[in-house]
Amino acid sequence: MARNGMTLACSVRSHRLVGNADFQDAHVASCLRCQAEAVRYRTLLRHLAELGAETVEAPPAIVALVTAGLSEGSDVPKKAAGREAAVAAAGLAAVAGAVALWRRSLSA
Amino acid sequence: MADRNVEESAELLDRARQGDEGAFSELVRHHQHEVFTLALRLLGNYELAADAAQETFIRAWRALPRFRGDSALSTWLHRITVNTSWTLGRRAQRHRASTLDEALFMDDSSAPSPESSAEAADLGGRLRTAVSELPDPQRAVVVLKDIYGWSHAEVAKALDISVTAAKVRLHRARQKLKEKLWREME
Repeated sequence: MARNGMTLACSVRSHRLVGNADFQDAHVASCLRCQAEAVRYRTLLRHLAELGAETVEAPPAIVALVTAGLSEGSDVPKKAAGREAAVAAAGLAAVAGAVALWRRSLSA
Repeated sequence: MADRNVEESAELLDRARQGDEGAFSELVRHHQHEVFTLALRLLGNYELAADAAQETFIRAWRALPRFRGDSALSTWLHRITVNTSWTLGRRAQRHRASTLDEALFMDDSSAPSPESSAEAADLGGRLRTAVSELPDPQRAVVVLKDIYGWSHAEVAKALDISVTAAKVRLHRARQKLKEKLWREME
């Protein structure tokens, strides 16, 4: 007999019931202690799942703070602008190079 | 009606992806409460959760060009919320350890109770407190698996632990919650 009158068989089932509250075997079917334990775990899991449906209202400033953060540290538009500038600079360099080569060929 | 909402969300998402801050702000307005709630459940601290929610949306904005739409936007935001909360939680823990500051407990008294009976509402309230008092690693697993219904594999991946570790933490957390709730009732 284990602590609080719980038998070893009950203790083993208790560990099974933590992982699967619907676990059933001959012992659980005949043991009121284990059936009560199963009910506790089923109740616990049901109430935990119900917490998932609850929504706690966010602080009212979140949207404003995020929006301000986008303007300050926005990467998306900056990256896009940077890419366009790089493409334009590469294009200008290519044109300048071509003009220089053409002039050199004229003078030669 | 639902189809129209989906179309509007998709349009907002497209505009936000192209750098439209107004469209992204509209998405933030739409998802702020669910993101904040998840952060609050994970961190058990109102102010830290507010910081995590804000940081989540900033990270989402930066990562938006890489969002391919394989999962729903809310699922994607939830993953970012978990990562952000985890990072901020660890940082706060280090700060607490160095300043010996007392941990703040979850204050979600404004959360409506889903229960109709007073007894059930009482259990719900005590359960919220019990969850907030779990050690961080166990709370994270319970929140994601038992409250949000993620699979063991998803939980393990999000928390960067093995599936076995996730199961062990869940086992211990459920035992603690059960003992705490029913010991108080006896």
